Amino acid sequence: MTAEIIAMWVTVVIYVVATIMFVFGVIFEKERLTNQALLVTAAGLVPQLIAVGVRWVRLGHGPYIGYYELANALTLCTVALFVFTTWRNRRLLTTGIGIMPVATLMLGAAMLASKADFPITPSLASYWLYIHVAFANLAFAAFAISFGYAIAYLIRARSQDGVWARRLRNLPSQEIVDDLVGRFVLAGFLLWGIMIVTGAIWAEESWGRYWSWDPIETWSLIVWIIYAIYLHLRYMLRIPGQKLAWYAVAAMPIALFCLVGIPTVFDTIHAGYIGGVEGQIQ
Amino acid sequence: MMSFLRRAVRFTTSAWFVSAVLGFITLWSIAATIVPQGDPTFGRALRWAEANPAVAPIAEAVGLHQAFTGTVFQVVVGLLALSTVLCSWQRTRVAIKRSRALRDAARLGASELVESHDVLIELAPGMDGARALSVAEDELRQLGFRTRSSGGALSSISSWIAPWGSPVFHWALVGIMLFVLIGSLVRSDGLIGLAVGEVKPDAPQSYGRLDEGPWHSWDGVARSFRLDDFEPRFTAGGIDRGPVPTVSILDAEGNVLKTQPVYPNKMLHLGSLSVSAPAYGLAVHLSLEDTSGVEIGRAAQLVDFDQTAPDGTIPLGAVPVFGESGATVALVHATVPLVAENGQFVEWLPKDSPARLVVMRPDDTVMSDSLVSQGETVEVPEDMVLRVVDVGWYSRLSILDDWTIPFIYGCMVLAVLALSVTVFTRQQFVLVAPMDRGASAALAVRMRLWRHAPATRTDIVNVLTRALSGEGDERE
Ligand code: HEM
Repeated sequence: MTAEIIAMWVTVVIYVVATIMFVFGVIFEKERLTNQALLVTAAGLVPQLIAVGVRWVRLGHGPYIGYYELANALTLCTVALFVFTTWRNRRLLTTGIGIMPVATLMLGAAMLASKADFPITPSLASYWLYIHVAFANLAFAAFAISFGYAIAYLIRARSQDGVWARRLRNLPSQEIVDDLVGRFVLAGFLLWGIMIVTGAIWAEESWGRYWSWDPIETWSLIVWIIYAIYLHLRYMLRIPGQKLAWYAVAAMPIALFCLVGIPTVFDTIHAGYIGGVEGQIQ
Repeated sequence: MMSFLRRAVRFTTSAWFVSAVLGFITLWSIAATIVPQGDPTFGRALRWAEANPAVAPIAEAVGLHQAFTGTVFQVVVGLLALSTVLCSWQRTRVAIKRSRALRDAARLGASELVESHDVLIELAPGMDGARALSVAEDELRQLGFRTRSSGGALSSISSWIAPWGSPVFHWALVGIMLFVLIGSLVRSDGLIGLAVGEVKPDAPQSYGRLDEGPWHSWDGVARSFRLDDFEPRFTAGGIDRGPVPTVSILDAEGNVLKTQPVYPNKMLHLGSLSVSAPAYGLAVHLSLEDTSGVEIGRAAQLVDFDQTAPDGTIPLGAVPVFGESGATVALVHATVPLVAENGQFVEWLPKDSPARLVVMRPDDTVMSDSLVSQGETVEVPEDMVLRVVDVGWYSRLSILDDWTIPFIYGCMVLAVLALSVTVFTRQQFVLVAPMDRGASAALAVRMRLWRHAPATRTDIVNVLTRALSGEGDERE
């Protein structure tokens, strides 16, 4: 437990430092600092992976159960996707100011949650768990990236020739950033869809029903539809970029709420994944 | 008439309409997670109504307690389905057009392109066509286009499959909605209680609770279910799976079609049937005997655990005792008194468990109420006795008969595959060919950038103009 906790705190510190570097790098237009911020962020993945690995070996299961494991996995995927996409296209570096604060806050929240060991319950003991949770994490990561790009887009749109336009000058054109927001929403929508499909198949295997309008099922559909509306506004109505960007910014917290907030607020047969008592459909 | 229809179709396929319908479904679903589902005069829904007197009448009036089975939701989803059918059709026409355009683009020769260009870029003096093409290729690649050059022209053309992602996805959604609807019409879904060793036919009278779609039919259903075994602590794959029954499905002749332990993540599937075991309880096996000890009949009284009951269990129905004339002469209710620990009943099979038998006459008067040990008897009318043979386990099986499920999954997989095509492919073509105009040369460009092109039209024109004409960037 101690090695894991130390590795986690090291990760938190690294992400905080990376966030500060991104913010200062962008505000003071220090390109080297933002470049280094990406390296620091990537370095943070190492202790985080070690922490996840150590816990995985100790408990015999991956980060699937309880707020701590969940928030940890969501952050890991978000940061990894951010590093991956930015590494491939360095012009997106400054979007770190939108993404890293979210990742750092999520990891901070994870550290405040109980780190109790939850065993795999009979309902969870299935290979569908890996597939279903993996897609939930990837989908959220894509939505978080779309959120970060939308923030960068909005900041620049608000000061077209002003100081922020200069600070974010290395970003691709607004049209391309706007398109990227849409592409990550679309990718997230696909991954979230796979999460829903695998969840339905698993629910049938586990509880005997593929859909029972449980709050988590309902909310995952709500999030999917919210993003479907976004995609229609984008591709059918061709709503102006700023309004769409605001929409993408507002939608991401709803997806996060769906993943970690529902079992706290509602009675759900899905409570098992958060470490609560899971029910069965009678 | 035609124009009315056309206007109706245009309205139903408009972006505002689909967004409004999807928006309504979102808000309705959110409300449905706040308002408890179920009968508002009972349980949790009633408690919520009492705690929220201001909104409760509205929620009840609009049917929010039956949010997903009520009329409002079904009408709105019906509208969405209709709109999606129409839109899928439109998307199909767009896909046909685009994939044809992509195929035509691939076949377009340099000379035809020159005639059908939509942008002309002047070349700097001294730059010839071959050099211009090579510069253009470099520039387009830098923008992220994958280019090919052949026949004196340069092209970047996405696959003809790309435009099909969207219509196939929308048709797959239609498929899901259709099969979910058919499923609700043809499905039967119910609960059967089976004591260990008991066999019950798959017929309406065997079910404690049964929901049937209007198109469901029992014709040709001649199977039965048997509970072979009940393991209170079953371990599989190193995981304690809890209490697990072993269930068999038998054909009309009693041959076993399939048998297996049933627990979460291990349903019993046979054709369109899925059997799960959501609950369990105790079973009191009774034998009806005459005064000389000859057995007349056997029955099992199923008993559920219930912390609020006086002895921790409640009987599921009653066992009727028939007299010689065939009339019911008594009804017997059996329970199994549980052991209490720290004020809670232990929901388990008690050791040497006696059963409590309450024998009622047809006029509802109690004839006897006694604790009966295993092997002991209690008197019932017409000089018969009822013996408690033993007390064991029973399993409540949830049996779903729905052939639409694989089709729903099929449509879901199709939707995912089609959406992957939309996400991971571009829908675009860019064609470039040199054009000799006597004194000056130019580059003819024809492009369509429908979806996910790596650069905008303005970017392409600017970059090529800067590289080929030696002029500055127009935009920045
Ligand atoms: C049943 C709910 C629906 C969902 C979940 C949904 C989802 C989507 C998604 C994810 C996209 C973007 C990807 C793609 O282009 O395929 C999209 C695009 C689109 N959808 Fe839907 N859709 C639904 C119903 C409808 C309906 C009813 C219409 C007709 C009004 C419609 C018309 C369109 C159009 C025109 C596009 C843009 C395609 C393009 O520009 O290439 N959709 N939809």
